[in-house]
Amino acid sequence: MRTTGVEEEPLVIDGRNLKFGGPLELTAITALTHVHAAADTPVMLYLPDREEVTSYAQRMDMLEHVAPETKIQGWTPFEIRNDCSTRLLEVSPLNLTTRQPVIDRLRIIAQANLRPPLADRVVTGITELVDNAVTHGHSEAGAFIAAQLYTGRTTRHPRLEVAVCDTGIGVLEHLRQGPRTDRTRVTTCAEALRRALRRGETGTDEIRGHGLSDVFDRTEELGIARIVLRSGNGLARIARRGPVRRLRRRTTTCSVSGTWAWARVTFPR
Amino acid sequence: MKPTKKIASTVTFIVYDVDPRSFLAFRDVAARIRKRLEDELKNLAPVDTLVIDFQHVEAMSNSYADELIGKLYVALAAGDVAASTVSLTGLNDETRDAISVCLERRKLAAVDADQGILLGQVVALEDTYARALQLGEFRASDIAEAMEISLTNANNRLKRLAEAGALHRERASSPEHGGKEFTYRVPQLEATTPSR
Repeated sequence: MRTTGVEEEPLVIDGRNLKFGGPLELTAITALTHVHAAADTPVMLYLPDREEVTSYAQRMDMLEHVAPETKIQGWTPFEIRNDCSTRLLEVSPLNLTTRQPVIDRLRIIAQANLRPPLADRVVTGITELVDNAVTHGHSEAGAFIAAQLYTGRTTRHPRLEVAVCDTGIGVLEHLRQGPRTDRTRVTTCAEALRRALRRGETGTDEIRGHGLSDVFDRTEELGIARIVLRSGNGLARIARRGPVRRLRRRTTTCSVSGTWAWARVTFPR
Repeated sequence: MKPTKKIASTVTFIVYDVDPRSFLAFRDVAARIRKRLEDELKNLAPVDTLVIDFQHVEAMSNSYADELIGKLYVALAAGDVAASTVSLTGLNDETRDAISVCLERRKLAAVDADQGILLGQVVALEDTYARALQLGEFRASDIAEAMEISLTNANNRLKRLAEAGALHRERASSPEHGGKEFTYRVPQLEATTPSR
């Protein structure tokens, strides 16, 4: 998938060669269209040539939630919609009104596929991502979430993927607001993401800032967990296998507005 | 003659009654619940024992636990909560874990009244609390003797337990050793005044 444009320039999202889509692709595309629409810049979306990928985007309500100003090129198949409420959370706006129904839907997915104590532990971890987006990532363009439970038929192990894309001020600006943040040490988006994954880092004046770390802690016994964060031109990947965590971060050439968070938890069979 | 204010012995705050969700999440919601609790306590003050009941709650996020319980216990340690002691009831493994995590991070402790244990930062306090449960009503010297620790050590531990809302602490009418001395008492949970 290729994109062009900064906020002031027309955005072209060319998904014609997209061979696969998941929650992150769908929420990111949705967020991108809203950021540019809020800046009054034209948005063009080319749908994937592969029918199954377009069908997936359609089924996941991405086409329903992209900015209404978006010009869409491509063909959408006739849709027969089955109940997938135990496997899919379709692309949904995330705000103070929708956050509770979103969490309720995530619980349905988790409880349908995991034994009781683990289901709620996964959801409590993901709730931290939701809370962060609604609390720190609000903006005119909004925030979006999607999730999918993969049964393991094609992915070896069952896993849950959740993506939350907000269009707020981003992690760097948020942390730099904090009265206890040493601004001389937090100067890049990549560094801000690294710190955001540490305990106790917050852009508020309160003793808090464990949310992202809690995403791992609550799911520790489930197996492998992975989080990817993008904010501004920063990218951070953290993977956990059992008690061992590995963090990598870097600066990218392409910036995003706000913060994109993608979490995947792989369950043992 | 000025009317004396009736002392509310035990007040129970059932979280599910004011936040009717089995899965508790979102910091701002927890902040509103905590404020409601604090306002109700002020109306009922003085309160001997506050019981916070988590029956029907299946799980809660760490952020919610921190905003509701973590911050409440910070205020309790500072003497800003209108209750002498505080106990938590109705916890399951998940809610107990969330509360333990938030208390550990804030280096605080709380009583799980159903299990008769402390949650949170409990190093050096667990044994002392267990002994306090056995004694019921006592002075620091009783703990020091029973646990074979110094009086200073006993006083420090009991002070922390009182700040955690685990013990009633009252000035002793006849100090054994002169100076300021306290008697301590484990709260007995009984039929309660409902919080609303």
